[in-house]
Amino acid sequence: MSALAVAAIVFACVFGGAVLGMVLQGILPEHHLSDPSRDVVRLGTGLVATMAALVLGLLVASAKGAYDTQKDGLDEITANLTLLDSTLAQYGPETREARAILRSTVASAISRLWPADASQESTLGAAETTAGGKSFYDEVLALMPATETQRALQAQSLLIARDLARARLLLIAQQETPPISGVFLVVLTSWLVVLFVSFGLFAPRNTTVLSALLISAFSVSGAIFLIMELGDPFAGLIQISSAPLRNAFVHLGV
Amino acid sequence: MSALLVAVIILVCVFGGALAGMALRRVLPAPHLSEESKDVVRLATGLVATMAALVLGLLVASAKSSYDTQRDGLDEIAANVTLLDTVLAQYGPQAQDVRQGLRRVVAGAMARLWPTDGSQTPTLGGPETTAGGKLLHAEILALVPATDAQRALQAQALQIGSNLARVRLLLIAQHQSTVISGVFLVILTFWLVVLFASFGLFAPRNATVLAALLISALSVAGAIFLILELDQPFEGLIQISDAPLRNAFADLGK
Repeated sequence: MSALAVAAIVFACVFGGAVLGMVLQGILPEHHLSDPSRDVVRLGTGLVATMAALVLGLLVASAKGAYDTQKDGLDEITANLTLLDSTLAQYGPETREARAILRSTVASAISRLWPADASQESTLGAAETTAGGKSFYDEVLALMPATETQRALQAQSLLIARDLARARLLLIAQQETPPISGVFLVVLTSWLVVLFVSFGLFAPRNTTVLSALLISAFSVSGAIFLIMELGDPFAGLIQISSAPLRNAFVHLGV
Repeated sequence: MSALLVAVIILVCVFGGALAGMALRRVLPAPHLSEESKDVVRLATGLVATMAALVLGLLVASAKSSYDTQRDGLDEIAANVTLLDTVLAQYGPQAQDVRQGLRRVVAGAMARLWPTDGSQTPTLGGPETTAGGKLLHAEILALVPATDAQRALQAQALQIGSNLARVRLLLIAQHQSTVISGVFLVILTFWLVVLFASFGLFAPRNATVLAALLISALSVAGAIFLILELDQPFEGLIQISDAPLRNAFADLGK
């Protein structure tokens, strides 16, 4: 489900809660809504409010942290690609074939990660990229170093290539774990609904109050939207920029 | 867009929100602003306030840590440059040319990263530096070691050189991607505007209240300024110091 859809559902539930509270206000007997009752309800929901605000704030921050980690992983891949290519270039013209494979693998990985056609899903762990990487590795292994220097450069290339593969596999693993589990989301939403029901229960019925509740519900579901969006850094409105990798790609094999 | 400009825009939006709240107070009928209404609005926006404060605080902390990462990268470069120079000095007078080359490359890189002319944008990934680095690598490779010690020193120099290149490429990749996306900033600003509008809605009109709201809005915009400014460690008011690299440079080739 897209982040926007989830946020819209949460918004509907939360604001629906506030409206429900207002309806309940009309139904409940008078003494249920007395000042002492109100105080107790407020104390109870005050606890929930602090908890929900803390959890939401920390979740946004941790989603941002996870997003940054994936961005750092991509930066590392970018740096290693350039380094790998220039190490092979130093080896000599024998590596032309390997560098061509590297270039085409990176090209296909970029087009799969940021598809030009928006209807396609962005994939990080495409089988073609893995296969391309493996055939690149074999190509480097098959080089016959003639001098001591070439031997060193070959060993270094293999090391960098392994680093690259590790960074990529880590990214794939990070991508597969969802930022927030369904149960967590349901519990969090139920706190918010409870809160807004209690707000609605003691709210005078006027447009100012109604719009204040609407905007607050909107803000809270904005936080959920952010959490979901940051959880998928290669799709949606908030995306990791492809610029560093594309810039590195331009210089590959040249 | 510069950090200062964005912060000013946010300041205008947020303080504008407070003023809009005050203006609304005049327009709205009295029952809309009763104690009960005020209570509900305060509770609902309290949730948003806690959330926004947490997110802002944590974002500043994460921007600071990404700034520190880049500073550490630069420190590592400075240390590696000195180490490389020392290893080459140990190699013997045959490496004197390479050491002079290293000095030139570092001088060029520093001039581009911290331009004396303020109108120039600092560049980290200058093609001259890349070309210079490659030339250095080739020169070290071309040394003909006569003894085992020289062979070991040459291998070490190559390793340090490749490490330098990796750290530099990583810095370049990190530098190209921004810490906070536009969507994130818009949502955060929306929360702040909502908050300040609700403050303004129930605020008496006097200079003290106005000044307090202005200063709060200024502080909040200051936090956003910090986040954006720390994201550009080689530009603007908060910059990574060039002292470590300059100190390393002073001793190069001597």
